[in-house]
Amino acid sequence: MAGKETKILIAGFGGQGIILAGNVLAYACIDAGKNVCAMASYGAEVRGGTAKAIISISDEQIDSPIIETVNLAMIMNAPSFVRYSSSIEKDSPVIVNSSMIDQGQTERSDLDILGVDATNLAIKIGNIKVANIIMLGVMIKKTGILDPDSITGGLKRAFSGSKKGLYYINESAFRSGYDLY
Amino acid sequence: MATENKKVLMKGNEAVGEAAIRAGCQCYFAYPITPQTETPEYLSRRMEEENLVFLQAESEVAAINMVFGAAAAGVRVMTSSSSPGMSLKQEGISYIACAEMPCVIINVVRGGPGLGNIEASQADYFQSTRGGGHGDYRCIVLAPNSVQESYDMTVQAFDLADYYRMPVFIQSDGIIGQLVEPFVMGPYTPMFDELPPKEWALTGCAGREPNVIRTLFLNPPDGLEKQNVRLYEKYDRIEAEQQWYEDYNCDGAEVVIIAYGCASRIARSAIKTHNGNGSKVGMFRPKTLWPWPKKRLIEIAENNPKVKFLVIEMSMGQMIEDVYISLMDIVPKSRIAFYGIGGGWHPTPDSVYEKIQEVLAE
Amino acid sequence: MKVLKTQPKSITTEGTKYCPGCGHGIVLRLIGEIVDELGLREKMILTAPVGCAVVLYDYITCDVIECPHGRAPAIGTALKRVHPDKFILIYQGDGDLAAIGAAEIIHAANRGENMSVLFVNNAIYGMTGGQMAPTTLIGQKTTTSPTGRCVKGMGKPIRVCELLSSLEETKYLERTSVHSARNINKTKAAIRKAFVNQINGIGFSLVEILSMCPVGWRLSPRDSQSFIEEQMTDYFPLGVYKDTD
Repeated sequence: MAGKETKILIAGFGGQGIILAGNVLAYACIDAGKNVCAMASYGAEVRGGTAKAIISISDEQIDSPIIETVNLAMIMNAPSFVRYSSSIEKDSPVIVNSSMIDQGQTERSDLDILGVDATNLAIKIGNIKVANIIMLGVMIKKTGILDPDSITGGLKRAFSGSKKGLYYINESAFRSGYDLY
Repeated sequence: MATENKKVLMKGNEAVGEAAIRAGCQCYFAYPITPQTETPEYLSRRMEEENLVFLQAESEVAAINMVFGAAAAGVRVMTSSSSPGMSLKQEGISYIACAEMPCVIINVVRGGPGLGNIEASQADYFQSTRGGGHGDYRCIVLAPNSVQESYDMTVQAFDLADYYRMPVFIQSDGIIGQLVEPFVMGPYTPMFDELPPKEWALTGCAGREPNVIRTLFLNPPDGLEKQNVRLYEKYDRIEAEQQWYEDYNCDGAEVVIIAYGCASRIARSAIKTHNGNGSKVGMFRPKTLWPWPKKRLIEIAENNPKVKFLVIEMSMGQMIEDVYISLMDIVPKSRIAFYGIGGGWHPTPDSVYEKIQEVLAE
Repeated sequence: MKVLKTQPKSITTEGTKYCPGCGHGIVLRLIGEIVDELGLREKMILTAPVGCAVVLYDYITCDVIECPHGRAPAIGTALKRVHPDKFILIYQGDGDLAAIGAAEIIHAANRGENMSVLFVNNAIYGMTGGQMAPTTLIGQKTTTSPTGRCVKGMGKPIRVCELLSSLEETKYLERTSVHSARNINKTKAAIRKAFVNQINGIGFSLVEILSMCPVGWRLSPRDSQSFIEEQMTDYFPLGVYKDTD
């Protein structure tokens, strides 16, 4: 559609920091001077345990907030992989959390899937909750959609105030993901 | 909070909450309902920080009457809800409109009728623009299509409410309310040089005659008729002064899409694709649903005698009635096409694009 | 000449539209006397109900808001939150408080709003012409219970003081009556206490006042007084239900 728009799906279960990863991306876009628009699932869908965020990033004005298919995905658990892989456009990069996802669970052979042992890496870093940011690091390196410095800026904004103490572990999680490949 | 004029990131529902605080809202009363619950959640925290009044009411009926009470007490006040909750508030809104009390009401519209669903919808257009409750009255209705506008319009709504002494709606929907977008949280800039003093407010009658806020006009028999005439003189003035719109690419267009809120953004995606391919499509977006911005639409129709109109709604055909009324003397109905989806579902850029092709081919 | 009693200054001199023998006028007089005695007129905001007392603002010279039916406790809540230093008086009838506004009164009481509520219970809808109220007695004939209220299908009359007494944030609940001079004096003392409670920040106070409606009951004023004495007080016992100051 209009301009070159990166449409990113981030999905997993509640508690994996799906919305947070989306917010970090959105904050990073503010710093990078890009337009961004994010939409998380809400209501009964969320109560079932899955969380989903869709983030559109563009150099141009973002018009329709309705995103039917995405061209980049970051998926953190198996049910989300099964549920959402049909909404990913052909040849799109898909970063999956191989700690929790068997890549054979999708019949799609036309996706550019990259497995990251994110949950186990996060445990090694010292906090299982940073698996999302490790995957974000991999995604940024693989796609180059944003400068890594703007992600660092996004992390600073996302981890401010009472959450400030969590900035450093998340920053190192991002670096370790970014340097993984 | 972020510094002034720097972009911040929030959900639409949170932005209206922050806007209220920036506009000097003293009290907020509401009842939780999806998809607007982020507003009470946000304000429960922020209003406590600012030492303002937050109260989760026992029902939407109670919440709107608390709004009535706080408005009568002379302070800026807001409530928010979504469609089924708005139906419950209509009783109070009718009284507030009659008593001419200023307040701001946010409706994050979801699918209906009935319990409907929690998806975004525009199906409360009739309810908001035709009064909604009993009796002869109107409310100003502002329709944002982004988080930035949700913020800006909420701030402006407080000024409009005080200036005209009436309820002002922000008509958002489940998508605009849930959308996270960066926006500039500008400082409060008054819309009017001066707002009328609230001499009517209930503050205890020390040193003055008692103030009475009433909506019963039994005696003399023409009391209510006079009140209605007074209200309608005010509504006429508002219609002359506050028709807000945005137009895009309308001059010389073959087709002009008419859409508001979320639907206008979907339409704009389709228009951009289309205009990349040749013939010219424009859009007229009402930003006030009441008063409906008919002056500009008539102008577009008159400047462009062959233009076809395509009304896009996330409802089954509500706003199109205002289009018909606005254009009835100059454009035959055959030149006004409609594409709407109800039930909490929405058109897509692709489906709007196809509809544009159909209208062009007719 | 020594003046023993005069009209309260806070009450207008035009007179009321209440029917002969109606209890509302007595309650009005008592409010006026206490408002004068406590010097409240210029710091009070009164909520007028839907029902016979709807035009209270024609009778009392203070700031008044006329409320939608039953919603006065919600409106009063907001008034008090905005003006905690003002005196908020909620005046409601039985249809207003115990039927259409049951949710609003229960939740205002449960929040312990620091307000004074006067609940005039005459066991009938007076203004609309004598229909069954939530407090209409068993067997009592009204225009919508022409053969008398029966428990089956209509339930029993709601005892508001008893109902609210289970809510821990209510501070003072008393049921009184205005059917005799002795009871009018007791009612005055109760209303006064409810007012003073608010001034002292004690919290939610409600006085339920059994009151005559001769026209609605199709009884003479004198028989109406007897109806309260012999029948209403039997089902609605007078007395203090809660006093925690």
